[in-house]
Amino acid sequence: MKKGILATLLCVAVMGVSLGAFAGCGGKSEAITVSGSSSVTPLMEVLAAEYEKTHDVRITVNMSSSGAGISDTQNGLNDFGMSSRALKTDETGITGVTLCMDGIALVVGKDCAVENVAKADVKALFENGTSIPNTTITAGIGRDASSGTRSAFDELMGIENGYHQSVATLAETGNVIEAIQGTVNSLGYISYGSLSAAVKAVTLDGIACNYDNIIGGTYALQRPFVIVLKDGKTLSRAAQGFYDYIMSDAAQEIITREGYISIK
Amino acid sequence: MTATLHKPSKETLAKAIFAVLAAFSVLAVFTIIGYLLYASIPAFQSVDFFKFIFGSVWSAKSGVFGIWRMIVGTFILTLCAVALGGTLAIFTAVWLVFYCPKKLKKIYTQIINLLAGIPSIVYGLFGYKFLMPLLVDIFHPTNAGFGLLACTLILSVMILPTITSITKNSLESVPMHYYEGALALGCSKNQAVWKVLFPAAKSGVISAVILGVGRAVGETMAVQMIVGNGTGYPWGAFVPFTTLTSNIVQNWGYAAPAEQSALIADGFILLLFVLALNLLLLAVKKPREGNKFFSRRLKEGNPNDIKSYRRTGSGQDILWIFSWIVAALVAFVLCFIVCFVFVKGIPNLSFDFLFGKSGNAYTTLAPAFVSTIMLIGLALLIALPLGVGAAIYLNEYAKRGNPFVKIVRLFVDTLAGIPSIIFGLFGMVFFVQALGFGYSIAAGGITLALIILPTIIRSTEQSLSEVPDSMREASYALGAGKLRTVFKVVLPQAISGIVTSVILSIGRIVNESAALIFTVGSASTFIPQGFSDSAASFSVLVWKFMSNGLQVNEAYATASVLLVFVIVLNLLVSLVEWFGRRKRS
Repeated sequence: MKKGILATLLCVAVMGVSLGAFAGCGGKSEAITVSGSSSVTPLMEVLAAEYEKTHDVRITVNMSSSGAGISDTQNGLNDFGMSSRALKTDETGITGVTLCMDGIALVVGKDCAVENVAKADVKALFENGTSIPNTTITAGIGRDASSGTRSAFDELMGIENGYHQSVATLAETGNVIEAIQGTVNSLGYISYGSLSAAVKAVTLDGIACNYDNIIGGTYALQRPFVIVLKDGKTLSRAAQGFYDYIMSDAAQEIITREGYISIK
Repeated sequence: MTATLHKPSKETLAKAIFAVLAAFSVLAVFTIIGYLLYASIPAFQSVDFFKFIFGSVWSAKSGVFGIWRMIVGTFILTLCAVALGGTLAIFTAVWLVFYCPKKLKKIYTQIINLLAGIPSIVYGLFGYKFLMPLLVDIFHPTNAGFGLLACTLILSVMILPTITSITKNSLESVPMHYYEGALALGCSKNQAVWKVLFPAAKSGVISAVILGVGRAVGETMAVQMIVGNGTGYPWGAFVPFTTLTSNIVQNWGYAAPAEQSALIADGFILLLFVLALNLLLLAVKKPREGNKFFSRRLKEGNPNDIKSYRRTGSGQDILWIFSWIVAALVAFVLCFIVCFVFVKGIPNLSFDFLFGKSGNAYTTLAPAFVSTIMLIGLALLIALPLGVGAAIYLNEYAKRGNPFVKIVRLFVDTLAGIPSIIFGLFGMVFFVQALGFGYSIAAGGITLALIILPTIIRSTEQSLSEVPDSMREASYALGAGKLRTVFKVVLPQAISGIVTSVILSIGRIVNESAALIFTVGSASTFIPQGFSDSAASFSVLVWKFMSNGLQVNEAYATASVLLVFVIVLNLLVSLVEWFGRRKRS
């Protein structure tokens, strides 16, 4: 019996290891790795799921941030990267291709009475920690320094020197939604395409964050979703197929259906 | 069995092999310290050490890295959490040893073990989705509840089991005649407990608190979720701030080489703090052992069985009431957390979500089952021979008082005290980057092996030392060699201890998130096809579902699966211990 236990232990270990070896022997479909922005990730996952229906590929979408997507691409760690902002001039060795446009929605909790905010007030909230006058909003919720949503937001808002200490900075879009959800005192920003019933979007200087206003350019907070390609690197056959698909008209239809703004 | 077994050369070889296995822990600690230092040198060169420590600006954009804010944040948070958690833990331990009704004792010990077994990420989920909104409702702060108060509350519950169980052990090893003597002198029970027995266990309590500090300093995932990662200092209950650990998790994902080096340096400073705590632990005087043969310990009898003649009438009665309240509170908190997760999670569980085909449109838990089993298998395959070999050397081969043994024990303890985020960083720079493993189950499995190694060594050593010497002597007398004695006589006797250590290790692996995010990545959509694939275990999956935002229900469901594992593993440990006891008696 003692031996039995020892044998069982070894079996557990060996089983785990051989499971891996086994899995390795299984039928291999071609692998594609896409990494980067957590704002682009939900859209990319939908596109990937659609593509996988008709093609024998395994698309891994690694959610991190625009900065990571860009550096992964520069270092050749993925097939292509995702960024939720335009590439900067000092980000070399890569080319960005715009996938679609996206707005940055300002969101508050469902029970918050605020409907409209002024751009200057939002700027002051994030830069100086000043409460938005005549509202319950006393704190901003931002994103981490490498978020594409944040750098687009900061640039469009004219915030240059970082956030006030009252601003929490969270790692992913989801964390912002979760944190805002139950409050009446916080205002955050998320991708327009990630808007859900969990939070409420407010108008900025009276202009709503919606399809018409973003495509017409009247809603100020908008940025491109960018596919990042490494210069001089030829995509694998599978990755090229997927890339061609997401740039196709069929994919652009899905993009529109998902609430993003097609560029075609 | 051939005759060559008895050749001295084989015995010497075996001894050498066991010694090397024992030395591995020393090597591991030195490699971790050395390599992290090596990897953080670029940061110390570019920023200069003094500015790195005392600078308060962390900006990758301008290449300025200062961690003073994080040091202060970690310090204040640890102080608050240990003050609160330590107090609660000490009262809980005293209650458990002296006031707990006999029937409740086993159950309550289970509760403490369970509290210790809840994964960090589940505490984070609970803090984020329950505690923060609750604090907002009560205190109406100006933000969503991020900051010191929420962090302190969560962290103090997290460090409570560590402090409680060590305090409990040291209280139980106080000689029984202290208690009897105090009662004989006319103390009431409460006076004896608080004036005599508790002070007698003082050094153990101090060790417990230091270990609690170590746990608090290194806690990562739960803190990262509720601390808010603001640019401020924690001057106020609701100011978002940053700790040394949350800074690493928040920024690593996308850091360029310069910032990566600065983050490793951040981890290195954290490691220095932890090492200093370990040294402090050494400095704490060990309690006097007394005469082992003539003094019974409290644990051998039940203090409740001894009649106290004076019942009331001292200030210590208030402490008695307080310890009942604290004990009830701790039990309530545990039940509440578990119920909260189950109530939110179980309705979202379905067969399809557990075992269905996983893909980009719909992530199920099937890949997590496979990757968790692979991680457990790989980590055990490495750590089990290493750990059991080391324990055999320490207990069977080394002579008592051998300085090498002391050094190995010190390093095993040090390894046990290193926070998982440091293992994660080390695994990242060493296995993932330097050795070129990439984010993979292989890199994660090896890192996990380092994490569970101390548990296996200690637990095996403990059970080896409980094997009576007469059995070894009998084996030698029958002509068996040392090696044969160890494998045929001693190890089979110690099997229940080894099994327990394996179960504890599996628990640790299932709980782990910070170290895995850094070494295995978080690819969760497909069943991994081999050990070079990135993957996500259950804990990492909870984190990922949280980050996705629209998948909180999936996060709860995954967390409830995790809790089921934790409960089952806890029960298994009790079962194995029960088997072991039954066999012995």
